[in-house]
Amino acid sequence: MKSIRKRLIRSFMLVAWSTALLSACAILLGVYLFAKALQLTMLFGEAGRFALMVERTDEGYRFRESRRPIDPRFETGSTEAYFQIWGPDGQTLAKSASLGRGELPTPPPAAAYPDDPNPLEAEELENAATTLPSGHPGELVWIRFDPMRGPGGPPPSPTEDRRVIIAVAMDHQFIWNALTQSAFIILVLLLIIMVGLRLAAQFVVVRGLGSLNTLSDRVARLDESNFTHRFDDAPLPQETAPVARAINTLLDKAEAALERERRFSENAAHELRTPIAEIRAVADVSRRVGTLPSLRAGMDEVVTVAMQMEATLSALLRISRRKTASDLESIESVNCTALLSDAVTRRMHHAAEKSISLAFSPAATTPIRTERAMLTGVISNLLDNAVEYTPVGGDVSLSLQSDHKGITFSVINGPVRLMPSDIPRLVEPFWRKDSARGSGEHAGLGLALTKAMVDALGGAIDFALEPDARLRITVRIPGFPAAASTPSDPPAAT
Amino acid sequence: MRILVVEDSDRLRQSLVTGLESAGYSVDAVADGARGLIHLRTTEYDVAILDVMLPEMDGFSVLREARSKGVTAAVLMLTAKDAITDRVRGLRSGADDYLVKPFSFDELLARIEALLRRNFRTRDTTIRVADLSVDTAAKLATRRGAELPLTRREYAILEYLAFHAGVVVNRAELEDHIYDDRSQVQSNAIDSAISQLRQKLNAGGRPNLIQTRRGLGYILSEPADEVDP
Repeated sequence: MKSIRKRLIRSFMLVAWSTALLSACAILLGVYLFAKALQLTMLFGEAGRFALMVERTDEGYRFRESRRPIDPRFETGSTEAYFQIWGPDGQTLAKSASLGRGELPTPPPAAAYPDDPNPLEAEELENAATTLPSGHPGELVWIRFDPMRGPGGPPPSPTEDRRVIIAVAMDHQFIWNALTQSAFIILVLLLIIMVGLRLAAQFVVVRGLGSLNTLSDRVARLDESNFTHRFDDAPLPQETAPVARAINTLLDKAEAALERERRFSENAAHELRTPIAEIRAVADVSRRVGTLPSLRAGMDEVVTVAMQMEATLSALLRISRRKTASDLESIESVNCTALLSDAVTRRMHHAAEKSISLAFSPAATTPIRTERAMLTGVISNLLDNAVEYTPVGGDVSLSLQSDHKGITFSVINGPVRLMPSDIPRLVEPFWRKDSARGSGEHAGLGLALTKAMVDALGGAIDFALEPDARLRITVRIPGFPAAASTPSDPPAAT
Repeated sequence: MRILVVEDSDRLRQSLVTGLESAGYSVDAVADGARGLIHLRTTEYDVAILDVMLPEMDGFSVLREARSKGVTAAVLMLTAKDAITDRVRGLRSGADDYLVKPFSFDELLARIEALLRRNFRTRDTTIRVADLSVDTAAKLATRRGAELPLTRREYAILEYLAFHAGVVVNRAELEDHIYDDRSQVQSNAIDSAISQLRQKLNAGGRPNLIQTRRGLGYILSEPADEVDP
C-alpha cells in the first residue's frame, strides 16, 4: 500500500539531495577556480622571486642562488615544481634540480607592443597548461623581463632585446588536494545535514499528517450504531478539512440511502403482514364457523389475497431488478394513440361510477418502436392511479404529442390532496398520502413501478403540482419511427 | 358483549366481524378512524379493536381523542407495527392491549376475554352465582353441572348479567351491549329474551336467579335476593 508519509519524505529528500548535490558541485567548482587562481598567483610569485635572483652584469647574466633559499619542491627528485631561466640569447642560465636533464617549454615569441614606448624593456607575463617532465599535467608561467643591473652592469639598450625568460611550472596536485579536501568536508557536512533533514522531515510530515491519521481513525470507528456522527471540520487544518467535509457529505448520502432501504424493507414487511393477517384471519374464522360454504368462501378469499401478494411481489421484483432499455425483450411498432384510447375506454365505466370526467383528445401520432407490454403497463398504472385517487366529481384528462424523438403524454387529475413536499415521494415504494392500506389492492407501488418501467423504456417521467390542485404526470418515451403502418384515428373518448 | 372493530382492510374487517359474531359478540365495524371515533363516543362498547394505520385519522389519534372525551371501553390496538416504540406509543395513548399482525384469531379472542375480565374486575374465567356457572372462555353456562342449551343471544345476556352479578342492569344497557347496529331490536326483545333465559335457567324447578327490578332493570343474584319473580 502506498504511504503518503513515505512519499512526502521521499519527495522532500529527493529535492534536498538534488539541491545539496548541485550546491556541492557549485562549491567544488568555486574551490577549483579559486585553487587554480591561487596556484597561478603562487607561480607568478615564484617567478617574481626568481627574477630578483637574476641580474645583468658586464660579464653577462648571472643567477644568484645565494640571494634566497630555493623552495625544496624544486630540488632533485621532486616532480612537483620546476623552473628554468633563459638568457636573451636563449641559453639556459639556470634551472631547478627537479628538471634534471629535462627542459621546460619555451614561451611563444614575444608579443609586439606597438604603443609601448620601450617595448624591449616591457615585462610580459604568460601562462599555459602543459605536461610536466614528470608526465603529470600542470600549469606553466613565463615572465619575460629586463633584469636589474648589477654593479657596473650595462645600461638598457633601446635596440637590443636583453630580456630574460623565467619559466616556473607546477603540477595540479595543489588543486586536486584542495578539491579532495573540500569534497571530503562537503560530503561529511552533507551527510550530517541530510540525516538531520531526514529526521526533521519525518517529524514534520508525521506531525502534518497527524490530523489525517486522527480523522482516519475516527472514520474507522464508524459503524451502524454511530452512523449519524458527523466530523467537525472547524478544528482541522485547512488541508484536512475538505476531507472531513467530503466524508460528511458521503455519510449524509449513505445515511439517506440506508434510511431509504430501511424504510423500503419496513414498508415491504408491513405490506406483506397485512395480507398474511388477512389470510390467517380468514382461515381461522372459516375453520371456526366450520360450515362448507364458509370454508369455500374463505378459500376464495385466501386465493384472492395470495394473488394480490403475488402481484405485490412481482412489482417489487420488477422495481428491484431495475431493467434498462437494453433489457427490453420484444420491441415492436406501437400505435400510441390507439393504445391510449383503448386504455381510456377500458376505464370509462369505473370513472363514471365515481362521476369522474375522463377525457382524451387523441391526435394522430407516428407509431414508435418500443416494448408494447411495458408501455401498456405504464399507461394502465397512471390511469388507474388517476381514477383511484381523484375524488368523486373530479376530472382526469390525457394529452399526447409526438415528434421525431418519440412520444410525450400527460395525465392530469384532480383535485388532489397532495402538498408540494409530497411530489418527490410519489415514486417512493409504498408511499401513500394516507397511512392506511385501503382495500389492500393498492400497496403504494404503482408509481414506483411506473417509474421503473419508464426507466426501462429509456424514457423519463416528471411530476408537477398545478396551481388548481391538479397533478400533472408527464411521460416521455423514446422510440424509432416505425417503417410500416399508419396510425389510425380512433374516436375521441370523453 | 359489544365490540367495535375499526379496520381499513375490508377482508380483515369482515373476517373479524364474522369470527367475533360466531364467538357470541355483537360487533360493529367501520373502515376509518373518523367514523371509529364517532362510534366510540356515541356507543358504549365493551371492547374496541383499533387498527393503527387508518384513513382520515390514525388509530393513535382516535384513541387519544376518545380517552380525552371520557370513553372507557377497553381498547386493543391491532397493527402491523411491531417495534417496541410503536407498542409503547400505543399503550401510552390509552390502549389496554396491543396485538401485532398477523395474529391468531384464538389469541385475539383470549385477549378480548382478558380485557372483559379486567373491565369487570374478575380474574377467573368462570363466574359463579349460586349453582350457576358461566364459563366466559368456553362460552358455556351450566347449572348444577348441567349445560344449559342457550342461544347465542341468551348466552350473551346471561354473560353480561353474570359480569354484573348483584348489580341492576337496565334494559337499554343490555340492548347496547347485546345488539349491534345492524340488529333490528324490537321494544320487547330484551324482555322476551330474559323470559326465555329464565325458562331454561329455572327448568326442573330450580330457583330463579334473574330478578326484575321494576322500572330499573334486571339483576342476577342469589335466590335469597329475589324480590319479584
